[in-house]
Amino acid sequence: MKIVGISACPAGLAHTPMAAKALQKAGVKLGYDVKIEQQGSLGQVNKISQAEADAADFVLLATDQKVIGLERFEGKPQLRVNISTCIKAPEAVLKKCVQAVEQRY
Amino acid sequence: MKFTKKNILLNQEAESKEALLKVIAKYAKMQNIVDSEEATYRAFLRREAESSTGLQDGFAIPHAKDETVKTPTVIFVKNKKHISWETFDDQPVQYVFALLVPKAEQGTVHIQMLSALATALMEDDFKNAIIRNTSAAELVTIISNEMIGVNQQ
Repeated sequence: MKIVGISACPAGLAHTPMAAKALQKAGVKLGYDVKIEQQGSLGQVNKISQAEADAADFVLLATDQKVIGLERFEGKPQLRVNISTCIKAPEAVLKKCVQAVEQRY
Repeated sequence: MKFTKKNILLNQEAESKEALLKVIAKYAKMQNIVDSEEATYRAFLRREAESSTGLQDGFAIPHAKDETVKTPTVIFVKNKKHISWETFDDQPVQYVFALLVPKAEQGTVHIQMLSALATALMEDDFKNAIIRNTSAAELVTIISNEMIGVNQQ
């Protein structure tokens, strides 16, 4: 399972990198290929390329903020999850998203 | 961005989240990190209103990103009492890393250091080191190593 995503928080300082790290660590643990782009005060960090977007099974938007570059993911299932939940329970978030995508598509 | 004993406030006796944020804002003004104590306090509250910065295991990472901040700074506060704060594990807070950032600060080495510190707060080793070590000198070493460490990668 290949998962790409974007994390973003109000100030773009702390929670953006925290969520990215949490989700990527959870991905390693669960055996999913997870890459999270951070959209915070550093601009786009760990940017997802069009090729990576194309190869992904779905897109996880770990934010309730506006994010940029969504056109990369056209036609892909997109799931939006509160960023705090992604930091607090990243494994549960990934599992639930995978489940939802598998059932829906 | 240096992290020294001046960036550490131990044995604080705040009774609430608001009181603690006021202590930090006052100290930041005293240290000439910000122009206005009041604007700094309001910036903290503004960010908390968007969503709480409480984490887990007694930690929180409030931040003020505002014009009033002159120099990107981290202030670590250890409070004597556990104070009520909306956190991921519904536990009260005792260890606070306050981030103060000028509004215009974009994509700099300072932001990378703050990011490194924030992600370190998800590691049990780092949190345990902060809880275990009670002297300011030890805390300076632990915290600044973490901020500089990722920077060198």
